[in-house]
Amino acid sequence: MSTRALSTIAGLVLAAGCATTPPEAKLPAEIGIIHTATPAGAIVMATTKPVAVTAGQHKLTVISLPDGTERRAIDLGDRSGDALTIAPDGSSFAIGDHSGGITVWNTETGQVRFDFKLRRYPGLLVFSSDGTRLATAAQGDLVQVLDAMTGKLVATLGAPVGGTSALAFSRDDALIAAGDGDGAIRVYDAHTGTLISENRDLLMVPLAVAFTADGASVIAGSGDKVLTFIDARTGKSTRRWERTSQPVAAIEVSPDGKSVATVFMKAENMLEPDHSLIRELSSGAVQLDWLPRAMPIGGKWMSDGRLLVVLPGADGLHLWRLR
Amino acid sequence: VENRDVPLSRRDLILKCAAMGALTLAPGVSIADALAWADPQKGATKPPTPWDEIGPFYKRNAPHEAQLRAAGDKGLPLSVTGQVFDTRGQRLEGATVEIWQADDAGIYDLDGYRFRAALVADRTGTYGFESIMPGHYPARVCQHIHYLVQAPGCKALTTQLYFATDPVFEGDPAKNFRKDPLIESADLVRRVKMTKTAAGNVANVTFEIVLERL
Repeated sequence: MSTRALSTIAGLVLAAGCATTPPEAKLPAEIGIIHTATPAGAIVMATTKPVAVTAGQHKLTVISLPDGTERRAIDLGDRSGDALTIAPDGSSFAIGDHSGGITVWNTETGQVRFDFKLRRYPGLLVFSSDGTRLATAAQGDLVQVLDAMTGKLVATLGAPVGGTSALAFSRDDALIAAGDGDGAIRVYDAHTGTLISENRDLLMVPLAVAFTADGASVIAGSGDKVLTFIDARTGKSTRRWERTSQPVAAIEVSPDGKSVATVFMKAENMLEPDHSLIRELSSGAVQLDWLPRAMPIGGKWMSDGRLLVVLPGADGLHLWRLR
Repeated sequence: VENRDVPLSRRDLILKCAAMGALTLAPGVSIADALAWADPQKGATKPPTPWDEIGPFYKRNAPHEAQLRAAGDKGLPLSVTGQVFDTRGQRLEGATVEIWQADDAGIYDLDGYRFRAALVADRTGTYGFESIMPGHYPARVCQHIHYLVQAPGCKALTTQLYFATDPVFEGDPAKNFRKDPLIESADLVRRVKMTKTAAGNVANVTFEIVLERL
């Protein structure tokens, strides 16, 4: 299996580690296609290193971005990748399979750091901002925070009814925000697992949570179709943006902390794509409204300010730049 | 002297009848069986209902309304009943049974509470609701109804009810239930009994819930 070169489109120049776009280029723009020998159903991208991992057909492939060069291929045998994640610095990546098996690899060496077993298939798999911890939970179960190098249990969070459906570390890794099945947003001390605050203003299951850059607020989205801002320390709702047409399924704050990207889920058929919005955090003003032609299989706000999204295609993975 | 203000329990009655030679049991039925029938809440054990995930569309504060089917609703009328027990076989009066499902077209109501309910089990642990057979949600393999069941002293349970008539199972749910990767036990796939009423056919399903004790 090999990953082919990333082609350039529309005159965009793909330099090492950075897709540079002429100032006059209109965004969003498709900036390349990654040709993979194995069709990928998901891709995760590091934010500070030009590396990504694709998963599909029981194989993981570590590739360089943006040239798409295959760095490593891992045969998963009969394991299915139910969850896939990579540390923001690209140092480790992990999968969770349908039987609850978690494996964490060293991206550079391809060596397995550790294996871990959940009692059923994972609902969450999230690295801390510095890549040293990994939060995971079986569907419906409590969240366990592991040392990402050794697998040693560092902390456990509460065991809410319905489990935890969304989770995020603050940028300083001091806090964890959990969106729980009972509709609550809970903030924990990431080192001890101590509950710091709770918000129960949402009626529906939170589908996405993110911290603002300063860690002071949690942004939460759900089937309530509103974006709610919550004071991380007190749990009080401080702001709600106007109602949207669909549930918010993913939230990412820009590296400079000034914008927030939200991906909506088409509730009547979550297999079909829906809009992505970029909004200014301070005012809520919409900066970009984009309807992709296919359901994105990955996306990441890179540390240099680019927001990349990957769409599947018959001829490979189509890399889009939204910012 | 017997205190006539205290009625005999079924268990005491059986024991007294047995002692007096006045107890006649059907072939194959022992006194122990009869005692178990008389007092199902003692010593009985029931396996807990298998777990299934809560999904993305649970909504708090659903109405306490068992009649979910309204006039004009499309879809096969569905009547679901069951009892809520703990693993010791004790009926859980007052257990809350929250259910939510897609409509006939496979769409969930996120803006309101159509096909959502929060029911309370009665003195016998019984719950029930009148609905329609849910449609196939596009991102899921099988028709299903979500449950969140809670009772004091018991672990909360999220699970889902599936239907043996679902074409996905090809008439053999025990063999084919894993066609939906979210179904971890064939026990969640229940038989559907069709009855005819003046208003037309109704699908009837019994779904007993057993909660683990804390």
